[in-house]
Amino acid sequence: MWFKFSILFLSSALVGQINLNFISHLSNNKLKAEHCFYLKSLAVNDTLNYHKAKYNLQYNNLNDLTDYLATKPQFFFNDSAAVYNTILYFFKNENQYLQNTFLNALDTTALTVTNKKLILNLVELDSKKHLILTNFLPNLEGDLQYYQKIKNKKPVLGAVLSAIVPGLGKWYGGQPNSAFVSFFSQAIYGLQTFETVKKFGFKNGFSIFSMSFFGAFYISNIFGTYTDIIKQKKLRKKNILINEGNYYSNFYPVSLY
Amino acid sequence: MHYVFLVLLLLNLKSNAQVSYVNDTVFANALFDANISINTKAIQQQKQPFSLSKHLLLFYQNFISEQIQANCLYKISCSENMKQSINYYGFLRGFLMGLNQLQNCAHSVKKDYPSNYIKNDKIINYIIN
Repeated sequence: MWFKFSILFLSSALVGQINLNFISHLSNNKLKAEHCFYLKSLAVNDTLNYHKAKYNLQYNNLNDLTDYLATKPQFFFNDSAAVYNTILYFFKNENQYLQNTFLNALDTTALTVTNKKLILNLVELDSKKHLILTNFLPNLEGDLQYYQKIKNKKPVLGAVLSAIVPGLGKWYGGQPNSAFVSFFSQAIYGLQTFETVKKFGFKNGFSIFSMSFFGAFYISNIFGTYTDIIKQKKLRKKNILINEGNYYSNFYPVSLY
Repeated sequence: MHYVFLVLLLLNLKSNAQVSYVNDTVFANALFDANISINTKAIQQQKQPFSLSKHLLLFYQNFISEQIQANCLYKISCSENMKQSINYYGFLRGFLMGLNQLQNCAHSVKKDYPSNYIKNDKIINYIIN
């Protein structure tokens, strides 16, 4: 085994060319250390940078990949498999900086139909326009419609509604079950506080304790509504992207080499 | 139970205000479970000052709340969530976020979460998503 490797390394160093079959073998068998060692042994040029980028993409070393993509490499964008796998990475993981670098440098003319469609999906979820449901997978329609409902909801308005009627803001933010729970818990605490104050007066220790207890929950409900609306938008969006990314990587896997 | 939990927290407001450090395990779990990548460079660890309320929360978790852990609706229980929120966001915001989870403790709340965020019948509620 080591003898074969040494011969391949020596031959590549002597000839000065990249052995694509060997790289393909290393990549498909996930021989990470050998793959890295082989790429390091070669002289630096554009082709090698391209292979290094694919190596970084496969093993999620994203700092080097971001630097490489910032140079607008035509080699990389002409490779549909590399672009496809990069987009699927964005579907499954959130890395806004890398995603922006990739989209800014991207040459759309060289894209395949599938890649164009996937990028449209990725960008549409962020835009304020109505989603074009036919671009997405049919089994995600329910999730998409739900996301479309909540994506333009305003957290501040939700907080104000929660201040008027506890739970109303959560209902507005697309969390009806949480709204019911909040409303009833607040109602029970409120009634208890009201009865305590009515029976013992304001200056009683138990009344003060009840009022502070109710007050803390009331304010936390307002603040929680604000944070929950922001959180729900993120979770719903990620849910759609993860499902779609899983679907494509499971049913249409494309090898990097 | 909630009263005990709150009283323990309210006992020491001052000591918590200075605490700002990040529990590494939270991020490790988040990365493993929810396919979520987090920019760890943006988060700087600091020395942890002594915090009485943190120790009181530990006492609550180990001696009072031990038996109800298995039935908890959330992946991170209310007290643990509050502890981590306070550590990360500071006392006021963390305390309010913890209370918000505490009053959302009902199994019907699961229906409000997307399918990828419910694993082993528990809601994944890492403080950073």
